Amino acid sequence: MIKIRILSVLIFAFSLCSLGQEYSREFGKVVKDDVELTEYPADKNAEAVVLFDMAKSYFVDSNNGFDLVFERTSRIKILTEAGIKWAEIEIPYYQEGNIYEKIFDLEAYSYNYENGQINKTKLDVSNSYTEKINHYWNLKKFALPNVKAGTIIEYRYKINSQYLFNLRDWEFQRRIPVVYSEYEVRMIPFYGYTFLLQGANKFSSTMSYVDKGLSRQFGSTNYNDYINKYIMKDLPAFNSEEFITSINDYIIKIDFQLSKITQPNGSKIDVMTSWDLMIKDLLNHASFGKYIAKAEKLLPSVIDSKELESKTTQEKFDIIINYVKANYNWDKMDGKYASKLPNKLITEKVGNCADINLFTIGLLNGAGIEAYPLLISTRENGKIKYDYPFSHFFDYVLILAIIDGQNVLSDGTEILSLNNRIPSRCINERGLIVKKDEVKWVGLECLLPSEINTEIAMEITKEMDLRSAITKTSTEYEALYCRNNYSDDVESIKKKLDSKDFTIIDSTISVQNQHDKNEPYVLSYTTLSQTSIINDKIYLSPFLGESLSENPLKQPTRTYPIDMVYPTKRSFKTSINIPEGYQVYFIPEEFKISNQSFDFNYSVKNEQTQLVVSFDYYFKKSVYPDTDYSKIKYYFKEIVKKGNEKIVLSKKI
Amino acid sequence: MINVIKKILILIINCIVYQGIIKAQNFDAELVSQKTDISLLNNKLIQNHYFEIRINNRNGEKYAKISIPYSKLNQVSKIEAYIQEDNGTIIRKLKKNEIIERSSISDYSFYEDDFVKEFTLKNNTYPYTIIYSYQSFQEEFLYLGYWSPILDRKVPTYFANLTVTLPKDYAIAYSLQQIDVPIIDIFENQVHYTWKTQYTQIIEPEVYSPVLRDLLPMVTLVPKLFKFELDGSFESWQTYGDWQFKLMQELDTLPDNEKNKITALTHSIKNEKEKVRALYHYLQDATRYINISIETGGLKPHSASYVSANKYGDCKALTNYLKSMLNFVGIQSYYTKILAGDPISMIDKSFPSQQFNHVILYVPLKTDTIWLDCTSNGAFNYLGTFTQNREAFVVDKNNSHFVHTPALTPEAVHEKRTISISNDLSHKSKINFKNEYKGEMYEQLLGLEQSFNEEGKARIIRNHIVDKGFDLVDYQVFKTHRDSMKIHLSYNSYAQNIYNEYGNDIVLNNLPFSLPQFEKPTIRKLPVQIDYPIYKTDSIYYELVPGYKLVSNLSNYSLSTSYGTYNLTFDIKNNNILMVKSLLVHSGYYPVETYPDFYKFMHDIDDLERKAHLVLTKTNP
Repeated sequence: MIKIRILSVLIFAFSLCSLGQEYSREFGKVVKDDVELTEYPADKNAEAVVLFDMAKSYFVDSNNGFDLVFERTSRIKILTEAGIKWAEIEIPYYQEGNIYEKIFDLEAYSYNYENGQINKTKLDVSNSYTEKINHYWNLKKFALPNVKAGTIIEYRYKINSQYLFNLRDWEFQRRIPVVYSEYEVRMIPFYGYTFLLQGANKFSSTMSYVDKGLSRQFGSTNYNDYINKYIMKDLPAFNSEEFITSINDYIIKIDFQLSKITQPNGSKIDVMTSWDLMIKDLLNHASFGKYIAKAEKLLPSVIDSKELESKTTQEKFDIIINYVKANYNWDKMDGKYASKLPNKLITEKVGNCADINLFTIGLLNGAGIEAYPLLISTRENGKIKYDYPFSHFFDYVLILAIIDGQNVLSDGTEILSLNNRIPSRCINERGLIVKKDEVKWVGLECLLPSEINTEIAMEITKEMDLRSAITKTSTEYEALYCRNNYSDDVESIKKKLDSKDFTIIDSTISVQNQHDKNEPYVLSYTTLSQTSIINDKIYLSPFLGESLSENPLKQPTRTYPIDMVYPTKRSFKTSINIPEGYQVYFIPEEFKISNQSFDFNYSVKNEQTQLVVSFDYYFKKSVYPDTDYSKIKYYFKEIVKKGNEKIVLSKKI
Repeated sequence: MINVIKKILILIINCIVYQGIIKAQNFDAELVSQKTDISLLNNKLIQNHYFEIRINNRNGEKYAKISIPYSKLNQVSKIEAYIQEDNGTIIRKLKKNEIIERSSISDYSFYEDDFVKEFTLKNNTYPYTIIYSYQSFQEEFLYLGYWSPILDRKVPTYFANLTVTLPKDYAIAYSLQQIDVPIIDIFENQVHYTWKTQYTQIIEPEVYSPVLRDLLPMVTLVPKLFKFELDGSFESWQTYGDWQFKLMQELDTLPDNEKNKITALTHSIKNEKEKVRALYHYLQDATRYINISIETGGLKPHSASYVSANKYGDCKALTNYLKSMLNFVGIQSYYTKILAGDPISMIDKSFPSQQFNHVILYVPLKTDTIWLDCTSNGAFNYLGTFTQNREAFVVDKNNSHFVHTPALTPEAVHEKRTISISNDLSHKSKINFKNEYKGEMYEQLLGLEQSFNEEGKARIIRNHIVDKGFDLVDYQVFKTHRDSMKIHLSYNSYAQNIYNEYGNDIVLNNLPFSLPQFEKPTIRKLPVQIDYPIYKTDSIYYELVPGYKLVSNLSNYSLSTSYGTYNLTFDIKNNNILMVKSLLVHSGYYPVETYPDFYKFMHDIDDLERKAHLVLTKTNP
């Protein structure tokens, strides 16, 4: 009791003289401000806050030269119950072939302020576990003991790695606010790295200096570590929003890439200082350039050469792409390097995107078609910084073929898509052609709109039921979606369409062009539903439930661009036969918007016995800047409104 | 057109000639044959498994990825696999280096020491067959077999065979589900059991259908006497309970500092129930739920001292911990095993065995019976939708037995909303909701509170809880006190489609209840199982519009059937039309024969709910 009183006097005294908080940055030492923090002033909703997150990468001598050690020390204050999940820690590490990463010196503690004193609980390391994620990756997992809202947790560990290419990147920003984040990289003269900061213009501070300690020796070279320190302070929580490409594009982080190796004798090897060198490297790589060359030789073993004789380039291209699509499965893994030899791919028939597409490029080359790998970054992986030749930007490889002088992009993994289209997951700015002595980027943007055109013929039967014959015609990515998800299986379509709003009249479902990918996918069916009659008036929704019923943009504001992947177009046309004895009582107003980025038309033609309601809209761009958010939200609002307005018919008097 | 006719003709011919094949081609994949042989070798359990999977097309290839589970206690060896074409040609054999091993951890767990061995066998002509086999070996086991020869609910099984070979004097018990009794052969000192089954009528999940797993063929076999860390017996529920009891002995020791804390928390409380409440609150505040399942198949809890040190545990550890604390203050409580889940799956009481997946605490006081879920952050003595109204197995020395958990009553799940709508003809009515939730929604909102920050909570409420078409402005979630079994959600929103102007008329749209989308009787195949009532009441205030008069005659509706009731009433209050709707669907089990009747009840309500009942018209057009 006395303890508490003393402390509260102290708190009072301190709060008079200090305005800014001073949080400890020392492992094992917790100060008053750490304890007293219950709500993070800069973000009152934060469930937890990173008080410090500090890491070091440095080289240690090993049998084979050097190993890299990554050392991390973190402290997090848990502020609410929802923040407790931050006390479950997962550390990924890599093991493959001669790379055998190892975690060591793991320690973790939690601090609770109870009855006037700080109780420290140590993690029993035997309560940590190893999860095997896949062939290469493991996760070290542990849950800090004794954690509740108000607990401070801290942990530190080291990872030893033989993988010098992979100087660990550092994310300064997290999904909770970060008070202090520091990354120290101790360079040695033998390896040069370039770095790239993303999401921020500059660091809070940086320092570079030569280590003043004893010098180290390797071979005949004496040297001291060259220390670079990058510091960021007071970072807000990273909040992801709906409809963005990837968290990787926006979070504040620093990436490193090995650029230069200097031998003790002074000779230098440039590793990747330009796109040019990266391309060269890839072309010589066993799982890339050499893989394509191997695949080229295999053409005769998979496709009868007679079949290709006297065919045009376009025909040969289609034969090969169709062969690959018909015979190989994508294992859903991205990657720019092949994971198995072409021979093995032929046997196993399953591979990652590089296996399949590099193999296809080989076959195309074998048939005399000029084709190159096109390195890209998928939407999930994020954007490429074109000024920085970092190979890790790329996580996927496409096919670029030149047919009759035209660039054609293709992907063997997307079976039901046209041979000259790429999947929507790959539409992400530009890709790099991997071609000898040339650095050339190719735009991936899709300029053609993907369209759904819905035509409805409506009539009211003698029994006063509403009969609607519906035909939906889809093109491009919308067609691909239908082919992948509906196909032409009438039974399963029937199940997917089923709704209590209507019954589908038996055997009216039909699908056209499931397999003719050059034509739009057409689905038609006829429904019967109840006519809505209120006070003797008939209320009709001209587009049934087919138009958008809800604004997809719900957030009040937005800080990132709205990425719709490709331009989209929707059109509806409904003809309504007016039943005998009825007349038009109410029709919605015409409405029109037309500008460079968006079109909208709504009109009704009254032809006495028939009404024709037309409605279409067109998002002409695939990406809209965040500054357009309120405009786009307004467009959607009008789409929902007009698309759901009713027509009213009344009895003739 | 000619093409279509041609296709149909071919189809008809095919139907006549190759009926079998046509049938087969309907499925993307089929389990042609599955055989499991179970035997004992020096009291160790050996299971040999054999699968023949036919892949008919590209969609079926997801079944070409084979996963074989294993763990430290269940070791797998002798994996062999190959692809065979229909004519019997073996196209290729699996190589050892194609097998990948990885952890297999359920979503709800932080860690489990379960793994799988995986490989894919693909061919490029269809159909083709994957044939694989492996052996598993267990030194200690609770089941001799847990056999359900189903690859996936969507894949038929044409032939499945289980044989069990045991010494004559080896006592077993088995439970059969959707399967015939075995053929039993006795040779000298050995008994052979053989089960055969198939699964050809594919079961699809339906709204409020029973647990689908319970509708599939399955054989569960246990030894009467077993050794799983300790010797135990499935002779009766009591003997099984005794084993569980022994397994937990000496796990209840509390460290001294913990004892002091408990004393400090409870010494001034006289009432036993209040003592239990104080310790439950302490448990909720000090510990967290983390599921870590290792070694002994997840049946032995971590000790009370482990929880005391780490302040976390799974359901077993937290229950044992609270039990130990109650024990320390002299209150008897019972570690109680239960098969949690919604819908309810029934325990086979004639088959003493480990059929449970959760543990709760049963505290029978002199005046009250208290049930506590130690993993919940909810109210004291609240058993939610996952544990209500079912048999629970109370573990006690020489006296383990079943007790039925209390059922959720209509009152305990009653969701009430008071909705006030301001008139607005510019398509932007302002709407205020004052909602009070119990039952399932109470649990969901509590979960939200526990797992998401403000930002995440707002997103979920905006996108998933607020009715479709309503734009959330602000919201508030609160409970009046920590043990309240209801939670309040109030919010303001805008909607553009409540007051709809058509010429001289204004049609006021209804705010329908969100109701389960029951299948039409023509497609419904499974019974309806409603485990706890659905009870909702909405009071909606529509503001009248100056210059308009109400033209609808406010006729009240009332539906009452054996399935439940629905009432709709209107009233004019000040400047508002008050519409009160109330729906109660009883809990119950309805076989598919009575489904049309049940469907009609739900459908009639739906019709009333989606209809616009109120029309205003201009007084002076």
